Amino acid sequence: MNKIEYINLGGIPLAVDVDAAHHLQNYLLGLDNYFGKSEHANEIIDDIELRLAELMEESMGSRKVANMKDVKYAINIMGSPEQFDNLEDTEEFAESVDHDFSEERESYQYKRKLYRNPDEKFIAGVCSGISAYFGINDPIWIRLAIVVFTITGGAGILLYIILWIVMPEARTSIDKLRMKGEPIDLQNIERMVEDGFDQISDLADRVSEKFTKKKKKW
Amino acid sequence: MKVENIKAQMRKGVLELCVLGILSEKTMYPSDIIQNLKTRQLIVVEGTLYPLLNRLKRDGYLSYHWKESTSGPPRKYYAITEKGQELKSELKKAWEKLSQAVNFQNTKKTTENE
Repeated sequence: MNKIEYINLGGIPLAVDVDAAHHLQNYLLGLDNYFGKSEHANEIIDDIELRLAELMEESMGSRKVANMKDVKYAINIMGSPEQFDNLEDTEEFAESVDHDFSEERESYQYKRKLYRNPDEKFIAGVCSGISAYFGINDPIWIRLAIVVFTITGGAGILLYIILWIVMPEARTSIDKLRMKGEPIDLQNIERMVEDGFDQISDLADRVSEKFTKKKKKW
Repeated sequence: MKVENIKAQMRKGVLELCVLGILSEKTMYPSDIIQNLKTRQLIVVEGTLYPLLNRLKRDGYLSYHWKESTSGPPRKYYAITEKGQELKSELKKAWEKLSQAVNFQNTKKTTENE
């Protein structure tokens, strides 16, 4: 028997089995990345969510719990972001998909931003984030630098703690692409989403966060 | 370039005009607009419509109001504004000119071939 999740989709409460909920969540994540973050984007996504809920209810008929079939039915009718793209431009992302290898693609490559890297971390991912920012392959060099700085009487540990506080953690797929300076296009985002990158690393994060918190209460 | 892409680009160009045309008859809920467009094979997936409605609303060509529904949360009903009516007649003129030009070109070619 599958576990059931209770979700709120565009204001409509739905009971969905876990696999289907996961599939739906991935789809919504893809939409979120596609439309970007703006007031309009939220409005569009709210409208789409409401419609998805209606379509799922339509497919469910008298059943109480939505399954994968219902989710796929709704997503199939709504279409994937690439399918909207054939017909619709959204200002931020659509262009980069249309002109496949033109120079314009360059301008959609986001500037690298400094994030803590939650996927490759020793303590909080500060050094690994810095390495990604400067394009250094192995974070060991930055880590060594901090250690050497500490041993030679510098305030390495203090520096680390300050950076820990100041640097945001790369949480979303987009953050992680920005961290590595990879172009934010649908292929890259999809690749990450499909790999389940987010879910797994978030889960690992939460677990390790709990552990580090416990450890710190010496 | 794929044939399907060319067709999609053609449909894309007239979609605004079609939405404005549909809404100039009466106010509608997005699903009704979608149904209308789908029966005429103007859109393939529903997701296409939502960003378009949002953009037309943002630019003042459409407005919406909330209406209570018998089942579920209130729904958005879209209506065309005066500005939207102006856009519609302008686009309609452009479309008529274009379709005349395209049809003329193609008829000429066929007769030449014969």
